[in-house]
Amino acid sequence: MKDVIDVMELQREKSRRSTIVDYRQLDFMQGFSPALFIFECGKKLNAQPLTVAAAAVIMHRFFKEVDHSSYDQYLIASSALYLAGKVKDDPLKIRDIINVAHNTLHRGSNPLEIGDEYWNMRDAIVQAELLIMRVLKFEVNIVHPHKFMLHYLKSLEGWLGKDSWEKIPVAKLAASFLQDFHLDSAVLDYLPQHIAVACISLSLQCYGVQLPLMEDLDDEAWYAVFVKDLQKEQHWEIMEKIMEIFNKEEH
Amino acid sequence: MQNNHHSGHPNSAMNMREKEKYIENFNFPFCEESSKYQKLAKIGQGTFGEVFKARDISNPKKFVAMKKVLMDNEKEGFPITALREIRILQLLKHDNVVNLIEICRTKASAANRYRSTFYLVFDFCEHDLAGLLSNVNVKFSLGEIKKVLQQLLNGLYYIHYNKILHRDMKAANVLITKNGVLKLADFGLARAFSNNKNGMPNRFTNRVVTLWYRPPELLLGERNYGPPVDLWGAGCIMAEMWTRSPIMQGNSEQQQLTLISQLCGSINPQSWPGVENLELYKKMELPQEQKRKVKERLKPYLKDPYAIDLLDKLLVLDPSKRADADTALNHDFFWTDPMPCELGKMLANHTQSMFELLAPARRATQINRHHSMSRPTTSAVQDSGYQDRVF
Repeated sequence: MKDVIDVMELQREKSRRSTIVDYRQLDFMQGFSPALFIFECGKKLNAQPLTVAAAAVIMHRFFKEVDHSSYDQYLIASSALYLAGKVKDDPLKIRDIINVAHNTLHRGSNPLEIGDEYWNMRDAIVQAELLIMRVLKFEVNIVHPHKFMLHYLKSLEGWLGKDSWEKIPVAKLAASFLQDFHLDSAVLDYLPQHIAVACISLSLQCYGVQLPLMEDLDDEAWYAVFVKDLQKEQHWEIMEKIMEIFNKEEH
Repeated sequence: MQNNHHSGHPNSAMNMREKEKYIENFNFPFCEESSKYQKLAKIGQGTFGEVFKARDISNPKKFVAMKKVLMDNEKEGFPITALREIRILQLLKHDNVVNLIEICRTKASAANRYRSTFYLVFDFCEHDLAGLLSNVNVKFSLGEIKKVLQQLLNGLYYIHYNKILHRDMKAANVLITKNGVLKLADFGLARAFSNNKNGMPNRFTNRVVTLWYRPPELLLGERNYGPPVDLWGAGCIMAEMWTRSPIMQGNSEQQQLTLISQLCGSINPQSWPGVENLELYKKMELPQEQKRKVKERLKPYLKDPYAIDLLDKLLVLDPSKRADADTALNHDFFWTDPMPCELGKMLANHTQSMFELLAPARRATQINRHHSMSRPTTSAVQDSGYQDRVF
């Protein structure tokens, strides 16, 4: 386990991320995450961030239970978005999902005409939604790290002081780490509170922010005031996993 | 989807017959088949489907209620309302809230065009409050009435604390087990609420709650409402414990508002500051010069002075002044003799299951928008000493 985080590397990786992806060339088995497709479609659909996060979690939970090669990852991803919209009371129209998903997979193509292909896709999404729900045993309540992160960040704002808080976009970067972590199915493996802390830690490290008065705490971690049960090792493990995402993204 | 066929499983090489066979024989480990339960009788009609009493075949002493999920618009997939109910029930675990055991499905076959039907499976409750109240042989003592209302308010306190609105309070949705434990049921119209999202008022639908139990703010078009809508219903149910039938049986929104004004006094900015801003305030006819007569009209039924005082605090026009569940639970009504007492003994005298659906019509033949009653089936089943009355 590393005990320093290579911030420079992270920043280099981060800056490379605006390439247009051809999803049809990507292979799930090689470590590509269909969550990237969910993010892109979610953004185009104007879905709430929590809806997109829920869709990624639903998709990861589904593939955890079944054989990956048996299902079309983009069909499952589209259905997960449709279901997440219902779960989060942020309904996404199925017609919009079909158009966005189709155009994201076949860039530059025209919208589907109402015809067999359209109805097949619609039927497939609806059936896959039922399948997903059944595989998840209808347990679609998700506790997201987001609300914990918001609370921690609110407290940090006071801790750091308003001036430095406004100068350094710690919250923004932590939020984008949190979204990125949803690319990895590891997002299912940790408590939401712990994920929230790790994203903030990583963001603090990236900006080299020192929290005031920490020296009085004798080796206690800054997050000890928020979570009591997060071990140092696990804290590092989550941060490393978030960073690994950037390495995986090379394609 | 990439190649314009369905998910890779079953793969596209299969012809239709092979596919059908594959579906029929498919063993699906995640969601159990409804055939593990044996349907006994239809016992009700919920917001989104029929309800059956059934027996767990592997444990014949165990009875459940199965609520069918209506999939009327299969092109839109699983209904968002059913999904909401499931999510809410999974979240709520409390003695006074009906317990969801699991969700199961029928086997896909040619008979159902290879589409499964889904059922929500609940612990079975022997009675509902509307059924009990319609039976003249069921007599509640004051202590027993207190127990019913205390449990009702405890359930409401719990769901409101968890930021859920029930939105369909009525006697028929209050279940009572043979041991006298009360359970709030039918969360088909329930939803989560937040006090105020970024200072923006909520825009909920106001087409909820069975008319006779619908609070004045909903009748006047309020969309930024909250827990008080359920407490109005609790007030109506409270009065019904004595009157034995719903106290305000309007047959239109307009008539319901008239009945409310006649009981609770005129609706105007003096009795309810801000009411003039509600969407329908100017469109509805609101009788003026009406005096508040809650105490006067209901005293003949509610002789206990604490009871009438609590009722007076629940049936308040202005939702911001209506008692909340916590306030109501702290009311002297629940803390003076006779204290709330167990219902189990009294219910033991009634070995017949009592549901409103099975009870003779005790009310006008009004058919409600949300809950139209359908004719029950013709079978009777004897089990564990409980006889379901079915016509």
